[in-house]
Amino acid sequence: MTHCTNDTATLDRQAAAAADGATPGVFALVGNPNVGKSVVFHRLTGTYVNVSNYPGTTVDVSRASARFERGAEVLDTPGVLALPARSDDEHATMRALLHENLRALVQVGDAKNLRRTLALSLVFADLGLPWVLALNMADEARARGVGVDLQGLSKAIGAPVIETVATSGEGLQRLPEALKHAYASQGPAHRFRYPDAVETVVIQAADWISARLPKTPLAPRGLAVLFLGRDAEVERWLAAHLGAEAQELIALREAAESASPEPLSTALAQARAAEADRLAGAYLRKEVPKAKLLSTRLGRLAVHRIWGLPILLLVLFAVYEFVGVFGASFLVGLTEKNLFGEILNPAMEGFVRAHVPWQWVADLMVGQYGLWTMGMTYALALILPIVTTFFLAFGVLEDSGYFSRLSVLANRAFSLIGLNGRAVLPMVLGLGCVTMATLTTRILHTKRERVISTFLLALAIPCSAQLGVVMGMLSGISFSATLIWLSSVVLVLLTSGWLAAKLIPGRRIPLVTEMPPMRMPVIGNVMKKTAGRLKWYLVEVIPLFLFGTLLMFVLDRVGALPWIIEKGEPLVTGWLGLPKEASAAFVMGFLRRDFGATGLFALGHQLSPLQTVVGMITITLFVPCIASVMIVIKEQGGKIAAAMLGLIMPTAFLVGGIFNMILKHFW
Amino acid sequence: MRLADATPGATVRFRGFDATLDTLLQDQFLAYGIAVGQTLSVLQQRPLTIIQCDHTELAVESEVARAMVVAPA
Ligand SMILES: Nc1nc2c(ncn2[C@@H]2O[C@H](COP(=O)(O)OP(=O)(O)O)[C@@H](O)[C@H]2O)c(=O)[nH]1
Ligand SMILES: [Mg+2]
Repeated sequence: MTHCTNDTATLDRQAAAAADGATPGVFALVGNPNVGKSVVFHRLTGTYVNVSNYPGTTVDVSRASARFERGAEVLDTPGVLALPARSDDEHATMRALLHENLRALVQVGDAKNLRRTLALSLVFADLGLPWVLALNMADEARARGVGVDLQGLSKAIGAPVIETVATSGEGLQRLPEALKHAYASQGPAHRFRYPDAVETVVIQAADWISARLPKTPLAPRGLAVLFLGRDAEVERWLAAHLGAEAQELIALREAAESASPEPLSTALAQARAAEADRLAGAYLRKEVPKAKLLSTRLGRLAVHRIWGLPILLLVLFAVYEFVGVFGASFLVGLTEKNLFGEILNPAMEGFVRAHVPWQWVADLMVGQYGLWTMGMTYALALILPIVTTFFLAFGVLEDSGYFSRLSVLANRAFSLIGLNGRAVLPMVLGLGCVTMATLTTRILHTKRERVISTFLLALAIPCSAQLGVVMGMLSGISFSATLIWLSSVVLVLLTSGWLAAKLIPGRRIPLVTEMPPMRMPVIGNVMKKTAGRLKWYLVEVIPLFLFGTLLMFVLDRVGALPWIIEKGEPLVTGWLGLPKEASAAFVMGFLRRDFGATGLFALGHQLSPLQTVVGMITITLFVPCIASVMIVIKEQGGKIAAAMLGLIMPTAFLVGGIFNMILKHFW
Repeated sequence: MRLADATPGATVRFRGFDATLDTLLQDQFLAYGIAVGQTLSVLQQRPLTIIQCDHTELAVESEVARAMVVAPA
């Protein structure tokens, strides 16, 4: 037996469960995007996964053990707009349904959108697993005057229905009880039938499957419905278990398809929509008309033809005040000048110089390129306050639902670069950390969109750390210097995006997106998310900063730094017009762009205004940091990553040089 | 009439899609609850068409809104 350890583990678990009278198992939370699955998951397991008021941000299945039943596990799945699966998220969820050996399903639904929820329920009902429908967001439904006859609906669909408010925990205590009822009931009393023409095919396919496969993870009828609707995961599963015989089933589908006036998948989906409509009509308690909610009004204003822009400017201003002024000036002032500059660094230096007998070790710790004086000081004093405030602001906006509105406002601009407004989330996150944002491009729907946005992130989106340094330097010169830098970066962003959209084959996908209601940000959620992002960030940044510092120290010691500075001279001095020491900053920029910018920062007083602007433009566009290159390789493959780097470095120097030539005449 | 031509503030009845519209998008709309005969409120047309169906608000680019046929409700 090859899976011996696995089997033993399973047996142990079963034995343990048998001892306390329960059967262990895996429960899956399934449902539409943005209905609160991840919050429910957190409530049921105590494990925090990314909660976001932006559809489609859970892209992986998470698992954790349940609190309500020993030995049981809960899965949080990516949201499905509909099944059969079409998008990557839907495929991931379908795979979980097929391969996880589930004990029960909990469909989390949006109480205020009963029709949509039920259309999906009708798929789950046919899967043959015990299931419970949790109508979540009951608070929002109530506020809109929407009520549901839970008992009536439960009878009609043959599954327990409960009402919940995941954010407050209300109603979730009824879930274990509801699950028990679900196990006990032997399927729905009267199940939904498709219109005769399709129903016949469904029955045929289901019979055919059950005749050949005695044991299936999901009921043959459910598999048949999904297979006929062309669910690629179910088709793959059937092919794997039936081999060549699967051809017969495909032939059956093709025959039915050619006899039907429309694609079978459409006929099936329409039948479910009609039934959901009927059920909703029967079990939705009459809506009491209510005054328009503040949240609704705000949400509308945020995308208003006229008010949208002033609101956007207001939001930007608030973010700038919080991150740029409070974080980058006030907090950095406290940490860098007061805490590190006046207290920690002198103390550290005194201690090390007094107690470390070897000069070079002391230099390595607290010298010009010291691990403490350069690496840790940059990371903790300069960068940490900026990214912390940025992630806080980002989390608040994300939780409020403003980003979906922003994607509407930004859609036109993004359409110029071959993307749609959906890309706004990764692009704005890039202003915090490009590496993290590169991972987030997964929420985009096509490979083409992911490649374009990854490229633009790597080229022209400065991360907050770098932004802080750049702003700090430029604001020391003049407002117009900042403006020149900003317009040059935007110009490069638009031009290269436009070119990339022309050159990368494929079609632009028009934006069709749901706008969830504006919600008051949940402070706990924002804090958890910020903490998670910060932890990730620090784990990424500190080793790189230390490694970078070490590299600088070694290069300096072995005399390679002067060599690099000399070799880089034609490019750096001749073409960019910078002092030759700036080469060192570009070497540092290889490790992290913000590190490179800080390198130029250190040269600060030696640079003329022209040199500062040119240097900042070049370093902003210069290679993305090592960590983000790693992520690009992982997500897009080595070839694409190499091509991107090959494009980005010359572009940075080219653009920097051109600006040097132009600006020379004016300054 | 096309969804893109509906007046903001109007309520319309959905009649169907142009056959040229990507079937994936058609499926997506059906999943949002937009089936033939469904009434929709048109909230605005600029910068994007925004409609409400039950309590779902959707933003739709004009290219797509032009491929959706509606009638006054
Ligand atoms: N008002 C309200 N908001 C909720 C409720 N459940 C979740 N949310 C919010 O809805 C958004 C989506 O939640 P999330 O768990 O990420 O949804 P998922 O995509 O289904 O995993 C978040 O902003 C949550 O804070 C609820 O019952 N009531
Ligand atoms: Mg989620």
